[in-house]
Amino acid sequence: MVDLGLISVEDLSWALAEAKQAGSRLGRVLLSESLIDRLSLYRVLAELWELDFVTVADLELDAGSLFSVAPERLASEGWIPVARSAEGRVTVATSEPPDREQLQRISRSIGDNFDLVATTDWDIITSLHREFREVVLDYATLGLWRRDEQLSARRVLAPAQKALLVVLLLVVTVVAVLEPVRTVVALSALVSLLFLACVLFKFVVAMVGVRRETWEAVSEGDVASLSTEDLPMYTVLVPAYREGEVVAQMLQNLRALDYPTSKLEVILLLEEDDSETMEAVQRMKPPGTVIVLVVPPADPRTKPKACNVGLAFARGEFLVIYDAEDRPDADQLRKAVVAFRQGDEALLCVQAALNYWNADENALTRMFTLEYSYWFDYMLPGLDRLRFPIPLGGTSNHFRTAALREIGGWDPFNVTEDADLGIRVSAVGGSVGVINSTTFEEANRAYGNWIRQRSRWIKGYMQTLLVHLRDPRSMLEAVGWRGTAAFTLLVGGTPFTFLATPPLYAIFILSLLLPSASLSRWFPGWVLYVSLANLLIGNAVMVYLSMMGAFKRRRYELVLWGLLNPLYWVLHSIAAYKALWQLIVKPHYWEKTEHGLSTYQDDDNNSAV
Amino acid sequence: MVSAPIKTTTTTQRSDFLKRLGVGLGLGLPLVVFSLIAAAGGWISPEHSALLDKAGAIAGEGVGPDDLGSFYPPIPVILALALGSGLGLSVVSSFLAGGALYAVWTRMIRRGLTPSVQVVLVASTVLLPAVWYVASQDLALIGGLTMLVLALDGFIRFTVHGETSGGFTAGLCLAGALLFGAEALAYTFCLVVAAIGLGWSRYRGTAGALRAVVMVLAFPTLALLGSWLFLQWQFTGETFVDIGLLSDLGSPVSAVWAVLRDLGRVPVYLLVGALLVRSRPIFGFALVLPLVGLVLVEWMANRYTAVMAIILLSFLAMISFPRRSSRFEQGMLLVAALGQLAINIAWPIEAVPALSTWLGGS
Repeated sequence: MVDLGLISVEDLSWALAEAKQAGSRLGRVLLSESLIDRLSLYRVLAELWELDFVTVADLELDAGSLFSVAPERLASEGWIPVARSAEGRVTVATSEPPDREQLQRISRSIGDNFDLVATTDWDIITSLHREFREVVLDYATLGLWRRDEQLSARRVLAPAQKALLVVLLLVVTVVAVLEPVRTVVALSALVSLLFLACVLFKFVVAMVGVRRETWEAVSEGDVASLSTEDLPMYTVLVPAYREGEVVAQMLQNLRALDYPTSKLEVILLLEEDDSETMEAVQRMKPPGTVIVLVVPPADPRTKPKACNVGLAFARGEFLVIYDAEDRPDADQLRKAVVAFRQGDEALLCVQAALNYWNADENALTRMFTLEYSYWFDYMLPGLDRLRFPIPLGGTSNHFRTAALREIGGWDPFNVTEDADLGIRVSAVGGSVGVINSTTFEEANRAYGNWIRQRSRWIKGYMQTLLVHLRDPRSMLEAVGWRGTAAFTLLVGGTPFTFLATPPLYAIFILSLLLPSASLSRWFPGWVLYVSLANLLIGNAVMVYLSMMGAFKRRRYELVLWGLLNPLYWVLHSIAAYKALWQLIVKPHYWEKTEHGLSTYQDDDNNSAV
Repeated sequence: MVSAPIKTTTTTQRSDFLKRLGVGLGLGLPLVVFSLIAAAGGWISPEHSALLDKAGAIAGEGVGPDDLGSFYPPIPVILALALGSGLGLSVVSSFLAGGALYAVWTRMIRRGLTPSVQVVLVASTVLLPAVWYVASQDLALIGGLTMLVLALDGFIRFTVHGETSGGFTAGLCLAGALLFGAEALAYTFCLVVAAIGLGWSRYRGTAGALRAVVMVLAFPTLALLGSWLFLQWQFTGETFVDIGLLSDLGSPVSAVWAVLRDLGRVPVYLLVGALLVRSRPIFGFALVLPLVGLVLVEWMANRYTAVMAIILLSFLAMISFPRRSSRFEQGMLLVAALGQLAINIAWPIEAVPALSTWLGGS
């Protein structure tokens, strides 16, 4: 390469040292640092391997040979059938060294009757993506549905659920007509008690999480003892849509990860109609380890569908999802590796904490930060400790790639595919852990944008509840009555409490404005008393939990903002009613969250983190 | 492959909890025996008698929201309504005291005190007949003190060791103490002041930190108080129903004198205070504040007793004794504990009925 003028002696020496230290191939190091272009590298490799070089991406491939092997296998093994001669001999292009193992891998799939040529890994992925477009699209869209209709949110209500709902509505209507006062009393008492149960559940779980404050899932020592050479290939999926303005920041953030870039496979998942982001990526000229996959346009147009496309081509032993604007702690991938290696095989996923770098930008970002601090620093560790199903957060969830494929990837019809996946992991007997590492994100600073985002999350929780309670017996068998109750209180209770808040607030305001005697017909003393006590206790508990989350994060100036939590819940309620409406009229619609709205500059971000 | 470790963990958690519960209840058993003997002799303490009267008045007209005006302190009143007997209240009180003792004992073990010192320290408090009386015959007082001891433990973890979870415990337990009596407000005030004092140097220059510390400690109590007052107003129409605070202000001077006079009964507290001040002078400030709290309790609520001082200050000494203390220091503590026992036996607390009175059935 030096002789050909492709690389300087200094760069080669550096890359050799780096490759040795990281236990990577020299070629991966050169590509990851953009020290050589891919085509030149593979031409040199082809010469070394004594193979002809072909640019497979430009060729029309033999469908018969190609479709006999699963695309994810071809992607992970680094070869692809290119052509078949009249005699039936297959030409196979490889991006991996043609050693004995590689030849055996190919033989296992297509027999011994083949000739080898060399190509680039990009050519293989691009060709697979093109040739298997329909297959991958079908897998990404309907894979889970075909595997088990019961697990997919494609159908909002199962027939039995529809019947139950109709019967319930009929019963309530009939009873309301016959006994309007008693019906209102019973319903308000029921709402009140369920509200209290949901809030107390969160409180108890958070308190368990509090007791884990000094517990570290992965210590600094564990991370330090991890040999760089032994680190596995890690796939980072970054689904993005119309996020051209944060692409540069994203690449910078990923570079800041303390993980050998040669062992990182970054797959950028872009939508076909998103020219803005595509152009931004091209302008940035990302290193060779970044792969751009274009997701074919088909309904549902959701992030999980894009992630499934990425999953089909992922080659890492582990896989993580980051949003484009995410800023993970540098050692997060290493901590995840430690957690997976220390955990048993049932540990299929680990979740890092999420928090915000623009917390003090405005009132909304402050409240959002309070909420995230409590959720990720107390609730998730509490759920983990109690071995309850954990609904994953939007990003920074790390998986064993093979296990993720085994359980069917993400549900593209569920708009909180992450929460659903966390529950599904528990339902198949796996477990989700948490690691003491944080990813900093951009908090939503615009109210409309926040409501859109939140309505999607709440709708997703509703979908997840409906999906997993379709067959309560299976759920009970898988996670026991405690797990089922916890799941119901958490995933069902969250939308419920937000929906219940306006009526409870209304009762509160009415009780202030009207003498209690005038309310006594509809709200007999004890019902009113329980409702008000619930409202006061419930709000005080949530205020306090949010305060403590901020305190633990040492964001002291936010603690007092916790007092505004009841107002923040009004926003949640608006989002919850929107979510309920959307669940009825457009259940699979993905409310896009705008990113890059923060007025904070990069320097502000760094100091905030 | 999957379920085995999950079941093991859950089972371990449950058995740990049951073990702790069992030991806590077990420590309260001797007091239960005293309660049974006292009840067999027909003794009901004036404190429990007042609670039962209140419960009787509420129950007489049917319990309703408009009873909120006479429902304070809620937990003792609810228990009086539910149990309906002095013996029931005494049994609950005994078990609460056992739980508090267990909590304190586990903290002593963590602090590395030798078993002999632990035993003598505990004996210096629990072998006093006046303590038996209060622990089994004054549910509201012992409940409030139990909550306060737990709050103090959390407070130390929060302010000294920087554990947020300690702040959680302290804040919530102070609110819990308010459910047993309004004197919790005085304790909350003192702990907030102590936290500000202890946090002054740590948080200097950190925006909002001291305000945050105050909120962590005081918010639950203030929220509970506010909610209670609101509900009272809502259902009784009265703005400030008597919760036993500020209604009968005493003389501040005599309150100070009462507390100072009883300090002689707790040499354990004085010794631990001296040791802590020697290691960090700021602790002197924090250790004076419980005394301020007791003065406020006497002055604002007229609820102070010497037994309260003995229990609170002794338990505080036990949970705040310096870690990694020398043999000499532990020896001094042993002597102080024996001294405390001797002093309190030699000069019994007059305000508490004599053993023969309440156990003898007269």
